[in-house]
Amino acid sequence: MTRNRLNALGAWLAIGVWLAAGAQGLHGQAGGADALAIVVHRGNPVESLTLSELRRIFMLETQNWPHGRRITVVLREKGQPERDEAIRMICGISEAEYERTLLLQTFRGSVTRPPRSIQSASLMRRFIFNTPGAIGYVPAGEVDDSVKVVAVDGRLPGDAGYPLQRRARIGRVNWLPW
Amino acid sequence: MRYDTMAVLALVTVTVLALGWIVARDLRQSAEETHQLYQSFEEVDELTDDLLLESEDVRRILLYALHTNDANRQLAYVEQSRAAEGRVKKLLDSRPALLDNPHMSAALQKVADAWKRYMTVRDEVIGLILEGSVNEGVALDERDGGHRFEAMLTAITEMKRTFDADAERQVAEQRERANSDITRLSIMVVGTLLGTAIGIYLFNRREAAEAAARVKSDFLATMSHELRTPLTGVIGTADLLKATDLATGQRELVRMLRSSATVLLSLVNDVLDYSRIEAGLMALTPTRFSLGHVIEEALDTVTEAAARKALEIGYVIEPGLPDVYADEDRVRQVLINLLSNAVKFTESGEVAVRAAATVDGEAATVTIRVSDTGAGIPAHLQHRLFQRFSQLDTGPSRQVGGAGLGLAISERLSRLLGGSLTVDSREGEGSTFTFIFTAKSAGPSALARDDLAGSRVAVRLGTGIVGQQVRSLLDAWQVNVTELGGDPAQAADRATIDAIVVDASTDQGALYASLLVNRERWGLQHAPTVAVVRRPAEQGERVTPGRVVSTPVRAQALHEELVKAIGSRSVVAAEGAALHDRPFDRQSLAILLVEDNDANRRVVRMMLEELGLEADEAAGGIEAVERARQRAYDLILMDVQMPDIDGLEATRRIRQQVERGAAPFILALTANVMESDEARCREAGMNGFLPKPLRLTTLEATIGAFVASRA
Amino acid sequence: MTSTQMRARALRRVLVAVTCAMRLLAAPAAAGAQPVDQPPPQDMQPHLGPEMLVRAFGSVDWSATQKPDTPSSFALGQFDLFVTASLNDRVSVLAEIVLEASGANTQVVTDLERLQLTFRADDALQLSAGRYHTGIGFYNTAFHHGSYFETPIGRPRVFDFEDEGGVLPVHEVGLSARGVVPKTDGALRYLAEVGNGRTWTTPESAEGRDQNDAKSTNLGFSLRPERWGGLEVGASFYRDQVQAAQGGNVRLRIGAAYAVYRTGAAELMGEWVRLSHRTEAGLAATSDGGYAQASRAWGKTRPYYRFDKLAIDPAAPFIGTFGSSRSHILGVRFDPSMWIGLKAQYERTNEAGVRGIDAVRTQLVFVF
Repeated sequence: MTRNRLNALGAWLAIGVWLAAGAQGLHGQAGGADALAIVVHRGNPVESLTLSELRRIFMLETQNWPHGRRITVVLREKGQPERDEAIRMICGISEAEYERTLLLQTFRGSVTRPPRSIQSASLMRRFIFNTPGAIGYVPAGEVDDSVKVVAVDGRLPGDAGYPLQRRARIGRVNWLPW
Repeated sequence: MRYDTMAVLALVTVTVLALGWIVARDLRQSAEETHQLYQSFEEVDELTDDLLLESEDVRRILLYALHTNDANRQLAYVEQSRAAEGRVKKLLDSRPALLDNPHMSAALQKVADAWKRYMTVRDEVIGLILEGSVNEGVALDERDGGHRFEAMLTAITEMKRTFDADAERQVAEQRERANSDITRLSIMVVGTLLGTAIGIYLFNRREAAEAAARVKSDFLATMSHELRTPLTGVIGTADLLKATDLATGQRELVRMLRSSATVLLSLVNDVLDYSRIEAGLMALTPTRFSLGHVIEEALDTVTEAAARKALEIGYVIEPGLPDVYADEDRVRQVLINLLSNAVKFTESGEVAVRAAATVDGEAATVTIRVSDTGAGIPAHLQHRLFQRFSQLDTGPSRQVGGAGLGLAISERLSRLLGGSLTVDSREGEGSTFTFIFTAKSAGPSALARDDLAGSRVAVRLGTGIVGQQVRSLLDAWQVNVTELGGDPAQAADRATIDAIVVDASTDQGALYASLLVNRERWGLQHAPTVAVVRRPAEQGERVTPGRVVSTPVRAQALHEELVKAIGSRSVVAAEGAALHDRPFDRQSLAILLVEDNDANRRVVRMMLEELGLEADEAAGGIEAVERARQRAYDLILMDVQMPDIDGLEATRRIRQQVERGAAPFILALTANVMESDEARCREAGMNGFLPKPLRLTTLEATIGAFVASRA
Repeated sequence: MTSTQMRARALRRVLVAVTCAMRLLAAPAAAGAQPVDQPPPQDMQPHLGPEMLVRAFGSVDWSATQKPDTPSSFALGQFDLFVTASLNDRVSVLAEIVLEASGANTQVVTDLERLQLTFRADDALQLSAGRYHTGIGFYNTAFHHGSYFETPIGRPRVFDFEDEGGVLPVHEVGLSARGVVPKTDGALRYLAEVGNGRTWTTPESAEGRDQNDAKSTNLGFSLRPERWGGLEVGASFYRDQVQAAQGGNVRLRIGAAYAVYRTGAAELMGEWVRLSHRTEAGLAATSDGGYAQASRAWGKTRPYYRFDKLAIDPAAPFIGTFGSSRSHILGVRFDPSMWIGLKAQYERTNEAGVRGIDAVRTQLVFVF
């Protein structure tokens, strides 16, 4: 019995280590062009979010702004590479995973308002402009003053160490929050 | 005249054109204003229409977003709605000028406010729709959006209504203004045209009247001239006839003929003058003359008539009256007319002429008053005096004839001379005609004389014009006048009297008679006398053959007689004293006598002759210098007061040009005997002086001294 | 307004209308895009009314087991129709209807597995009322009836549904409140439920109606530390008074603890549940169960292993006869595309008294 238990434990440990090795939920910090700017409505009092808060928002765990307004997540349309990239950068998972997670959460009843899909960056800007509770993303070069850029981890796009850069070393997996 | 008419026509044309242009411009302006007004109305109409359309679009398009779930399509509708919203905002911000007044601005502001309120709801609705809360969006829109939208539509309608009211008011105002403009313009045009017509009519009438008057005058002038020529012939012929051998009856007839012709001629002359004046053809030729002279000439013409009526006539000139430049003939004409009237209408008393002048720089205003002691002119007839053809009917004893143009002509002449002719008269008290004319002052009178200055003259004169005249003349000559009569205690001074002037023309010679009677008592039996007599009747009557001056007293005549009288006195005195038998007896003295006054010169020459001396004569300073150059005189008697260059200057020049031998001994003949004068004479180079009036004894003594000093 | 102006305006309106008409006619028929100044076609109705999302989960099974008297067979599995709708900004409704073929596939049993109305105040409080899965441990509320989401085939023994011999009150009718504890950055979550509790005395073991006045209460918390993304640990405590068949109440306490690490690629889960029954007579019984599960995905393939154990105290009321078991499950899941999964696993079960039962099962799961 004990040996069995020990064996089991060892097996579990091995498995755990093996599993942990695969999990490198790191976001690369190598400088790269094409940062992703997180944009919200101009009237939104939020100035900055941590990356984890951002993840929680985009994974629809956090569904209300601190000032109480409903968060409306806006992504690009399914099939557009910008959507995949953004999900990967912000949430660290693939788009398919994201969809599955979304469904699971809907299944659990914790999500009743799925994210909205927009066709282009300019439409994204217009959408954010028109919707007080919305949050979305545009390439940093496409920001104009119809939307407000939110700092992520205290950094703005263009600053060194901004977390949402393209071609950064992203972990192959992140985590699949509930 | 033609030019005048053309000018007037041109002016009228220009005026009409200008008016036409103003009218056209005003009308065009008014039309433009109206057009602009309506344009701005339309602008505002369009504004409201567009506002309504676009705001409805905003709402409608937004509600389309409810029909789809696709965020992109919803967003597209939202964007479209926002575009319409932008257009609404632009419309609200555009401010046509007509909306600048406070009502409209307030109404537009209300619309903008209502729009803003709707916008806040609308933005919320958009947010809800895009978030996915379509139901809430719709609910909010139905609950609040609808109300606010309706409120905005109401505000727009209100604005439109306010504007319509405003617009109506403005249109009414505009119409008012246009009406008043038109009224004003038409009044202007009509008035101007009327005025022009009237002006032309009056102008034409005046021209016609003038032409008629001119024709009349021309006719008169021509006819008068034509009349005068044969009349002069008649008079001449009558004169010739008078000179032939005629019987007394015939002579009488010729006399009547001549007198009638003369009267007729004078009438025609008057008519001619008058018509010439009326025709504006009377031209003035200013000359220099002395007022005294012209008055004397005028008086001459009435002397006989005055003497016949035993009227005292004379004139007084204010001292210091200068010579003037004026038309002498016209002045004389007026004076003659006035004097003849005065003499005509005065039965007894005097006719006096008084002249005065105010000089202002070069301009002189001369006032001559002719007053008489006649019947006077009643006040209600005075205004007719200067009208032509007017004769004052003084009752049944109408004694005068004539055409009645005299005063009219005089009055017009006086106006022509730049003055006036007025009358001041009371019935029974005589009349005074005041003749004023303007002239240029020409310097002090050339008749000023100084050689009687200082002589002592006794006068026995009346208070009438003659006495006044004599006294004024004597004062002007700076003669020491002693009044005779009354007080015998004045006898002490009598010995020094040089002459006596007595008025024998008044009071039928009463003054002269009293003089004769009292002469010895006053100690004046030896004094020479000058008597003023009335010509011609009294000639020789009760007057010692001595000096006489006839009225009207002429200044020159009185002066001469006085000088002669005083001169003869010294001659007499000299005769009374040890008369040297021609002491100098034509000694070879070259004497030059320089005296500008003929009479004085004659006197001195006489004196020199008495002394047995001969002299060359020079009438002026320049002549004297010339003669002195040509001949070396031993003695020069130099009058100081001379018109060309005075004696002092002549003396200086003579002294300068002296070359040979002894310089001449120059004596001044001067009336100024003060020390300073003496000094001046000595400075100029004179050796001595002889006071005027010259006495024979003084002359003799002085020359004697000179000779003695030479020897 | 003068007649001129009226005419001008009418003319303008006509022009505008004509221009609009021309624009309509000339409208480009870009792929599905409509010119947006046009109203939508008449047949499109405004999407008013609650937005509904309908999903169906289905599974088809095949199993073969060494268990005596159990032939290999295909089974229809379950058809899980899942509907959720957002009634308004804060209120949503969820309904889950499971249709099963029972037994010999002759009947379709419809189970209203879940029907709840949820009011979401904010992140800190979501209040649900209706029929829901009890928040004991992790597995029950993580996977509900969705076989698609479960990596292996079948639930751990301890979490079996009531009608499959489950020992836990998996379903509950009542009120459930859950949310994120504020100021914990989303790390700490709480759970509080009150409901009817499970009845054992009626054959169907329904909880639709509470038999006694005693409500069940459940309190739980979970922790998801930020530093270890994917990790969740939690515990819950369930209490109820269950009416015994003989009358009287059995005091039931269920405590659970779990630790779960799940990412997109890997999965490591372990739970342990302890039930303690105490009858009024003072008889206490403690049973426990749990599982440990691990899987790792390579592309579309995901092998997995689960160790499943249930130890029932024979003295426990209600469940004493359910029998303990211990099993090892080894299998692989293949997801050829997004919403289809194919699982195959080998089970070796030691049941009470019986050792080494082998079974092979396969399942096809799908979502639409």
